[in-house]
Amino acid sequence: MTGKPDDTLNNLLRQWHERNTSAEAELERLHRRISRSIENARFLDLPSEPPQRSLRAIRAGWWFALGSAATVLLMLGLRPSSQSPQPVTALHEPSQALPPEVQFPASQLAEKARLLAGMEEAFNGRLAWVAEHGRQVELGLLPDTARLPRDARSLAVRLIVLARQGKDSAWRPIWQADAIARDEEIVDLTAESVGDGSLRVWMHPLPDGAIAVDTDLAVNGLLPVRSSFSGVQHSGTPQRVFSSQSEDAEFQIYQIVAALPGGKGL
Amino acid sequence: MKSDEQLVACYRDSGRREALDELTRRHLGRVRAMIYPMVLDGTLADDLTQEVFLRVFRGLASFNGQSRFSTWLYRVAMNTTSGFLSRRRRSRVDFRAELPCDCRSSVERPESSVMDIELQTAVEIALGELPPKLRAAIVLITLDGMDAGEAARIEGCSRPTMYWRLHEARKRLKQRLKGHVSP
Repeated sequence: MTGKPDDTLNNLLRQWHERNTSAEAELERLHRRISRSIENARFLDLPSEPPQRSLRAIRAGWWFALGSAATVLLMLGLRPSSQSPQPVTALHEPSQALPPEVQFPASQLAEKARLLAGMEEAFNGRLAWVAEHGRQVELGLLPDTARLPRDARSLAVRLIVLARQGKDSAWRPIWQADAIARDEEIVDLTAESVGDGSLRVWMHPLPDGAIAVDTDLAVNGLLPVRSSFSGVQHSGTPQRVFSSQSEDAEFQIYQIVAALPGGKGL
Repeated sequence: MKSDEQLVACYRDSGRREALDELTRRHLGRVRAMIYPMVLDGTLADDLTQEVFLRVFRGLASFNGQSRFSTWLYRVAMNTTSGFLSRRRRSRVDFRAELPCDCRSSVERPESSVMDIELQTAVEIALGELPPKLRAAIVLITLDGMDAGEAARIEGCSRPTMYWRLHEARKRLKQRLKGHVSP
């Protein structure tokens, strides 16, 4: 057995990798195969392929009845470990009152969790994510043969675009999307389904209670706004990820993430 | 010798296929070596490698030269592979099912005696259990040898996120492979 206790992980992985690297002859065969496939193509004339959806999405004319209470979900409050990146500090701006939508009230999360628990049963363990935008709900389903692990955590994210006309006027929401996804699943809302924007989300809960999150949001319409965030965020704490000002108006995008209460499944 | 970017310009200007062939020759081994640990299947890795080069050549018109050609190519490689993994979830049983292929290769290559089949299987299963983003961190940084900054550019995330993914992936692998690696 070559797996001696003093082997380092890196050495072990690199040995394994070297062992599985293609030999010259195999690469040569693959090279010839690729060369043949490009011989008759006219690449510069061909449009790029649209990205394929990672999951089959279902559009449903159904929406969740959202709770109206505005209890702010408290931060989970555990310290990050020294080896983890520090969660992003929320942008508290006491001087500017934000609308209540820039929160994830515990009551809303609890209601989503209850409703989704029922949907999970209906889809027999294949429900990877649910996204809401306006009155549209999209579901991300795994292929028929795949099943999610039952202990996969569920996480929620809200992205909300705010606008105001002048510093004296109040911020008001002009675009909002919520998504609930299993750990590591990629939520993919395209312009085709959303109509006025696109959103991609990846989330992963960290042991200290924070959430690693990647989001890419593009919203068309009044002003093309686009945000891209990749980092660690405290649960329940709004994070401003975009800010823009024109002559007539100001725009901001806030992002809130939260662990879904009461269990691990969708 | 022409740079990658000069070869791209050469193809755009003249349509000479030799430029594409040279780009393929230069990067084929590295792209294939990135994709294999992500999918853990030789045939799939070959198919995806071919798909990556075709996608890249189809998209040459949109290559704006703001990043290096190689960074763009590796980003397409990882995105194509991640997309595939999202579409087709694979079970642990699948990884074990590939053992006959590995055994055949081990007979062909004397250096394979460095690791026995049991350990190879353990590494393969442990890698297969990692979520794709964590696996990608191991592939790019530990196996390919990229620095975290370049890996982050390819994966489209921040450097701290990439560090975190690497840390988390290593932690899970150590746990899964305890007995084979020192704590």
